[in-house]
Amino acid sequence: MVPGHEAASVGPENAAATGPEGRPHHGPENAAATGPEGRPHPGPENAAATGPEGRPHPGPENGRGLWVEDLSVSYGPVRALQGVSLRAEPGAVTAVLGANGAGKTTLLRAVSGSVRPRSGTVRLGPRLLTGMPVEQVVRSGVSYVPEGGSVIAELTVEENLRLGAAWRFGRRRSRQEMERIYALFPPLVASARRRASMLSGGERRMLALGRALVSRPTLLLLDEPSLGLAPMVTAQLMATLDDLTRATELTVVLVEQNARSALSIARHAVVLHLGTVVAAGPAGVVGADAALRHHYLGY
Amino acid sequence: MPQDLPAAARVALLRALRRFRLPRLPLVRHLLLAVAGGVLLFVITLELSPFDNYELGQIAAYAIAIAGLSLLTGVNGQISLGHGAFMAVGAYTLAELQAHQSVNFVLQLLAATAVAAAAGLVIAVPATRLQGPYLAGMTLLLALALPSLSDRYSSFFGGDQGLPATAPGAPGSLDPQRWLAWLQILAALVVLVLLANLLDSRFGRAFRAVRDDEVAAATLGIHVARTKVTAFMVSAACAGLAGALVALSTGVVSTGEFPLSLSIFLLAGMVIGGAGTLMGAWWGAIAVVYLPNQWSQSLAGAFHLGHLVSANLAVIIFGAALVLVMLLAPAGIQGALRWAAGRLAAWAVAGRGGGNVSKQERQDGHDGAVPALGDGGRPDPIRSTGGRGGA
Amino acid sequence: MRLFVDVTLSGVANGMVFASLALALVLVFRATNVVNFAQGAMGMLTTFIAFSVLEHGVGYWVAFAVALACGLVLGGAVQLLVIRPVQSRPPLNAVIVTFGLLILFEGIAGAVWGNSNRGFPAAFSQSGLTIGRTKVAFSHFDVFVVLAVTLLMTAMVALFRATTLGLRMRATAFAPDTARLLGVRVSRLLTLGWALASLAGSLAGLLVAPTTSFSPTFMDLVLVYAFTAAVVGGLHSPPGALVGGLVTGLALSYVGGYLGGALEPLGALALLVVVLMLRPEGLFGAPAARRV
Repeated sequence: MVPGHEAASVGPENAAATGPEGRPHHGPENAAATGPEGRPHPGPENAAATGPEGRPHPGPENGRGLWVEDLSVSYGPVRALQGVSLRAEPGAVTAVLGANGAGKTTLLRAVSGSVRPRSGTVRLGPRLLTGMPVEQVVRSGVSYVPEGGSVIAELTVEENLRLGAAWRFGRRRSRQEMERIYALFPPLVASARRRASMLSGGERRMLALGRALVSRPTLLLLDEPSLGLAPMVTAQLMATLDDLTRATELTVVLVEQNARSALSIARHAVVLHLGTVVAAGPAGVVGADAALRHHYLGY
Repeated sequence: MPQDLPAAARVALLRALRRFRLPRLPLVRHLLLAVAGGVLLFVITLELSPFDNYELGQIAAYAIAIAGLSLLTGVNGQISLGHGAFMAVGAYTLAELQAHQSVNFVLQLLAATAVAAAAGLVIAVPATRLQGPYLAGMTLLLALALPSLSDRYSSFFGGDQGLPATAPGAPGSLDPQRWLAWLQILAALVVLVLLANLLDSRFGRAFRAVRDDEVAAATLGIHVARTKVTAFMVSAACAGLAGALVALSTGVVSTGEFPLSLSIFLLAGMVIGGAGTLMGAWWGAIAVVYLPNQWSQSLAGAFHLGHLVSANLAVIIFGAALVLVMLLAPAGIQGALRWAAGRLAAWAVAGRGGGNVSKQERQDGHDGAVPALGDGGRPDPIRSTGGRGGA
Repeated sequence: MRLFVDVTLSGVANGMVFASLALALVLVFRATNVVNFAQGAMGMLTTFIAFSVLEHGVGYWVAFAVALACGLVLGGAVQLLVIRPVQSRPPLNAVIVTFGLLILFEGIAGAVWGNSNRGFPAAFSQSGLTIGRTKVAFSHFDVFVVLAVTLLMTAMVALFRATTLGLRMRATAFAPDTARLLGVRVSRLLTLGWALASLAGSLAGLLVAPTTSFSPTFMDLVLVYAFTAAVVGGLHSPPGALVGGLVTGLALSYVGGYLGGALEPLGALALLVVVLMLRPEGLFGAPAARRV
């Protein structure tokens, strides 16, 4: 945090709502607070809300969405994350920003179970994800799109999508969900029978995203989806993501170096630097802080 | 470590370790060890019966083969299932030479070594272009091709009975078995000294570099192909010499003496003894010589095992041992001994506070349970505002 | 001419057997990057089990099915108990382990059934068929061999291309980490892969046993020939296993037919060396880029 600015970054009305790490308190004082879009924060009055599948809300003390508490991850002697806490709400995009090496990818890997944290917890709704193997985390409704998209090049577009749906749905339902994805990403229709290795970069990214969405996840983790994409394609991708998130109450954690495009669709933003959280708050506020942007986000 | 051992014992061990230091120069060091070992073995041969000397000599011969294989696989990273075939090459060279020429036995052994090295060169040229499983498969095919070749050209190979191989006569009234054992042990010590020097030289470094990362080695100016071929030839030469020496012991050379299982026994001996080490070759050779004979019979007798089982016991034990050693203790016997010696030395040096030292190391060390902010207030520029992340 | 036809036909029959065992090697290598040099010995062991079952007076097809089932179990067990622990270590370790298994299984077979040569019954006549007025070197049994392997390959193709399980297995073989991110239980599928491969290996054992001296080492040469076939086709390619098998079977048959049976292993060695020198990735493989 740039010295001398810590009081100015978040407006006074939110001062009581955030803790030392910038985490919003859960509690009645948030009930009236609103984010940049004017939508109400989820609070206890939303406790009775149900998710898109019609499942009842698990309980007021936990809420829905992602809770990351005091997460620390080390790769041998290297401390990649230290005491990172984060809250990502359903129906909103939470942007995780920062320069290279800040620990953003490590954060996603820890949440998805690809890497085991040394301490801290990860919770999705009432479910504790820490310590679960990757396959189990995914089967709890988490979709993780790593950097570069990682489609399976030897399989066709159709097979990639089917694979994404396979753990959850049977043949017929998978087919329906795949149609939904094709509607969302029309360019994939033409290439449906083609091997993924023959797609363009943008199409591959679409496929990776589509594959992540076909199983109707509760939590979507995206690692630099715009990397290597043309600006127009990036804009389209972000727009699609934005629409989808609002419509389906999906919890999205979006890691991006391209802070501007991420902030344009995010409700909240968290800035990481060398493995710790240096700023957190509503996206508009974080984006408006010029000093912050210069120091950590590079623009 | 037991805390109640008298401090005097620990101090004595420490003094002994400090006083007993090997000379710096590798050649001198190796020669000293070889001479010491030679004297020890010589004394042992004086006490043993002819049959025991026969086996001791065979151990020395197999140690040569396993040491060569260890150099190829452990140090240079090339796996070979065909070293039984190279032993056969050496043995047949010796037998043919004896049949058609009368040459001094030293020259016979040198010829066997040279021909095996040449065979190694022939195989090495395609082999060294191959990685792991491909090389293993190719050498496996080689090991299996040999017996069928001898069926075809039986006149050259001596048919079913094979060719005779006569050991050099013992001078004077010396027991011939003892004399042969001395020759075999001498050969083993000479070869091991040479190999030890080779491994300590730039060749050894090149072998290891190529094993660890061929591309990186090439960027360091190491000629990768040449290095691999050299390692292959040296190990083939060792196997050839060993094959000739074993033939002198057994007196006969036939393809029945070199089945596929011999190649796998050499591999197993290398792994069990400790891949990449020269002392390990001795442990492996002991296993290869004793297991199929004495130890199998003893076990079979002790457990009243039937004839079928006892005939296959060696193979079963070697196979199981190979699997278990690779799973549980890949460094083999020599690796375990080194580990034990290291622990002993560490215990002696550490003294009373031995246990605490390691715990301290763990705390400061790589797993780093100490969080960034907790360790004596080390200033962290980002955190200087007390960690209020832009609230 | 007559010799050529006979040699070609027997080359095809042998080639199908090599293809079956080569498929086993390819399936395992593709999924776990390990060449299971003990695959032949595992097939040998299950064939001996069938032999014992037959000695108890059970019907041939029951014994056949028992051998295949044992193959499944043995393959899964080996992967679970022996291979999984060494997966994370250098691949050289796994290769050495499979050689240990090779002699271990041969030793066990020798201890239980003895090392001498026996005869294994064939389900069909092994004398040449008569076409028109000429007798060709292709028997009912050879027809069975071709049909059985074809059936196996078709079943494998159906499994991999048309079922979700097969899709998951392919994903596991191509990109295990990505597959995990899609909820695929990779570890279990690796075990299943080894089990299926071992099934193919067991079939090969059952098809070879009636044609040769049946002893614990009877699959040694078949294994290296299958390895050659797999390399010819490409170690990553199941269709390559079939093509490689046929190529190898024919090549060895010609060498054996025209130059003498004793030279077959050398012929295989020559074929292997030529392929590895000229096109190491095999007929169906993609040339591997050198990662620096």
